[in-house]
Amino acid sequence: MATSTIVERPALVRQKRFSETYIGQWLTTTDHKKIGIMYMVTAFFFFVVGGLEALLIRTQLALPDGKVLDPQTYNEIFTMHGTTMIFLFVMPMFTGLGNYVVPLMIGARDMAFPRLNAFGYWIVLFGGLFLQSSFLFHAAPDGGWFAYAPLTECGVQGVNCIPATPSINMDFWALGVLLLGISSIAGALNFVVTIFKLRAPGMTINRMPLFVWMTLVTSFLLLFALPSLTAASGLLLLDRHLGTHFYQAAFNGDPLLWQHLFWSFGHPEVYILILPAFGIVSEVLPVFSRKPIFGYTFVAWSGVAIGFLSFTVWAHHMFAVGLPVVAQAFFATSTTLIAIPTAVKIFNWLATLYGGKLSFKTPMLFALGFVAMFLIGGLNGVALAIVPFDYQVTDSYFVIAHLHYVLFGGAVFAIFAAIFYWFPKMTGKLLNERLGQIQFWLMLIGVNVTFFPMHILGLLGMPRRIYTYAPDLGWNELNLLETVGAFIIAAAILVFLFNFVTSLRQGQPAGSDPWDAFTLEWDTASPPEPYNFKTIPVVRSRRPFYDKKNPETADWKVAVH
Amino acid sequence: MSVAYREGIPALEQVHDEGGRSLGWWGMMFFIASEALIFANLIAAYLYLEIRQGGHGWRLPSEIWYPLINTIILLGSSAPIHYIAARGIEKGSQRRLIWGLLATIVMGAIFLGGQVYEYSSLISQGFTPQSQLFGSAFFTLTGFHGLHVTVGLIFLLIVFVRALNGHFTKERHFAFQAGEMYWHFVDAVWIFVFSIVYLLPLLRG
Amino acid sequence: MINEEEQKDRPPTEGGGLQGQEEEKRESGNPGSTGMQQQLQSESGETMQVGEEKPQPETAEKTGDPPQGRPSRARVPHSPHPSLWPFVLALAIALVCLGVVTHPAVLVIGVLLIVVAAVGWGLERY
Repeated sequence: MATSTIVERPALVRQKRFSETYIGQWLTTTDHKKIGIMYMVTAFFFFVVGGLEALLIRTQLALPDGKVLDPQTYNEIFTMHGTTMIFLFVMPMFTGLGNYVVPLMIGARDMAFPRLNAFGYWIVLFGGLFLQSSFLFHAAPDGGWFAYAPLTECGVQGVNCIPATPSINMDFWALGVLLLGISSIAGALNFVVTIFKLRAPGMTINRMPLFVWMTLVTSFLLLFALPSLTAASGLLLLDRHLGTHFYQAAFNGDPLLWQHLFWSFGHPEVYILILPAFGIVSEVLPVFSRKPIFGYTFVAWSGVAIGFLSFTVWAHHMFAVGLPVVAQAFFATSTTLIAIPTAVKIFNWLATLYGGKLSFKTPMLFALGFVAMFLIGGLNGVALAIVPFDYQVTDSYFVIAHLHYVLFGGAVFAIFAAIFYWFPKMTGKLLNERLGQIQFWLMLIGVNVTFFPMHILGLLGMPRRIYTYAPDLGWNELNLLETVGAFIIAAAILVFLFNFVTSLRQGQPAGSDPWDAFTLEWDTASPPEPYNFKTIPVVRSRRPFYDKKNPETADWKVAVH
Repeated sequence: MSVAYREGIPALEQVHDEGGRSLGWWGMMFFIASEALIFANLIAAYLYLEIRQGGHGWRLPSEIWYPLINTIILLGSSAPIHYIAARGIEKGSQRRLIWGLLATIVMGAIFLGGQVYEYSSLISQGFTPQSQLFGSAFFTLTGFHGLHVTVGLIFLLIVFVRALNGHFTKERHFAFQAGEMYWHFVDAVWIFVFSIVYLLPLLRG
Repeated sequence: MINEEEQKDRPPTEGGGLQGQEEEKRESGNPGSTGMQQQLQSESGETMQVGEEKPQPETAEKTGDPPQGRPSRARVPHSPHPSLWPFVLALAIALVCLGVVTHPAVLVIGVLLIVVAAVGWGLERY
């Protein structure tokens, strides 16, 4: 029986405060659900921005000797495409989803530090606007998303120093990622403390939903990986403006130092971008298979294993710079090792599907699409770990194919699975199923038409980031095909936007539990009240809401958890 | 940094907590861990560059006794805040809190002044961040630490002013606790920085 | 967190599991609450209880006499207080960055705003 009472102080004369006006509500909110929604809307806005940049790149490359953009603008566009998609779309999107869903899943009333949480969001927004505002100054970052020194060196004309990127372009980049780093650290430590300290009674670590597990691992990766980026870009700024020599070979500095520092952030970063996606798929597949996840412990701990291993593989991005043979052997081995926990997950997902009562709703389709696309991206990733092969295709379109299969086929598919899955919880409306299916098939076709030919182009020797290419290299048809594919993806996104707007207005009411789901977030109203749970639920198994709906066959009676 | 303290949801904490550390303590801990890793990266970069250069010329033109005294002062400054101030406020003694804080702040300020003096004498000898790679690495690593000492001092000064106004009680003094944690962190990091910057060249002879 | 073993031992019919939705919808401030009451003191002095039907007399004593709130207002268990300072602080930090790359005047505004926001945040009581 539930009781909740508030004894207020003697009645005060109440005026409408700023925090109660419509705008004030959003500006001052510390509610994890509102912050989560703001994160997601912002991230999606930047997804559209980054997507338009991608379309510009593909338009430029559609035909040989393309003249759509000038070379400098092209450099700026591909740098901003990468930076935007990674730092301003995928990371904030997962932070937003986590913000919305994690406290609900673990039966908490909010995140541990609500104001810090709001601060993290506003930094993402202003950091993103700061980065994009560089276009207004005609000074967008132009050194690629990994900003290799010495290409990014020398902001001011120095002695013995060729100003490679003389304007303020790369300053925007370095400061922008510092800003976004602050936000990610704030978000990550909030998640860690929330998950460790605010779980509902009975929600032991081994009963947490897998999305919570993966958010936890991701947060640790952020806490321990981002400092490398902070240090690296701090040193870059010092080199550019105070005349230090960290990355300057002419002064005994070492450009490779940048690569080591950057990739010791950058490789954990790619798992930061994919682990929450694993979590989402591990939530969606069981619900639409009507089965508990197969091998919960393995799925959870393989995520932890990936987290640890991700700190030992960074130099596989640097095989071509001439590392010692021992180092190459070490990093090739550790990289192939990561395939093991990743494959464990794939087999667990397949085993979850096996014998299940599958229902192919849109979230399920996207989750299945994720498994398939991620598998391709994982396999060509293992190929890249083989040093001789990497020599052959490094910095070619093969690498672009790999990273887009894992980031677009992987992370973005999982993000759409999550949007379709949790949209009813957030808004109380269902997204249109038919439009969702159309979007899924358009995207699946678009992704493969765009990114699969990149494998072949890479093997044919097309380098990444080239401005244009001569017509007699045999790359023409495949490039045109990729551009067509990019516009198919754009069409899919338009379908989604249409679906989003119409469903928000006149979508079918969802009720509190449209998918007959298993986890605690569905045990609240849709959308949930500001305080989430009137009474904090007590958890006895890994599927608390399933137990509640099926008291006779509850997990805690049947299975030992 | 200052954003991380005094921010928990006390109500929630009490529902779930089994009497362990507070939310703020954990938040501060993870924040410090992340900061420590920035230092770890800078130290790694320092050592990487030093080793790539074979260690030639990675030695300060000045004597070691001066920074050594400075180090002793900084490490010593952790004592009053812990043994006088923290022990005091746990027993509810405002007086011990204030005096302990004051002693630590003064010692920290002496360290910072000493560092400024050291910098200016090095620069007057022509050893600057621009003059050579070692200069870049030296000033960046020690300067980043000096920045943390400064932040820690500002933190402790705010806590000190609040302590003068009697904001802290036996039960509620998390801002002070956070300041103390941060100060210990700044001290501990200096042990590593000092060993690598000043002591390592001595080993090499 | 409540001890796992304790959870398992309790028979399910005593409501140790999840609260039914019907129960949640029931008017709060129901005087029939005999179970464990966790009294929570938030900083603004609001008193609130989260009750579960679960006989644990030693914790029930802590509540003293549970005040029965007026039914019209007795609803919100807890939500964090709104604050504008995170917004202002983030804006200020972004302005500092913008100032670094563009004009010192922007930098100065940013730094001043950081000070204001940090002080405001620090002094805010909720």
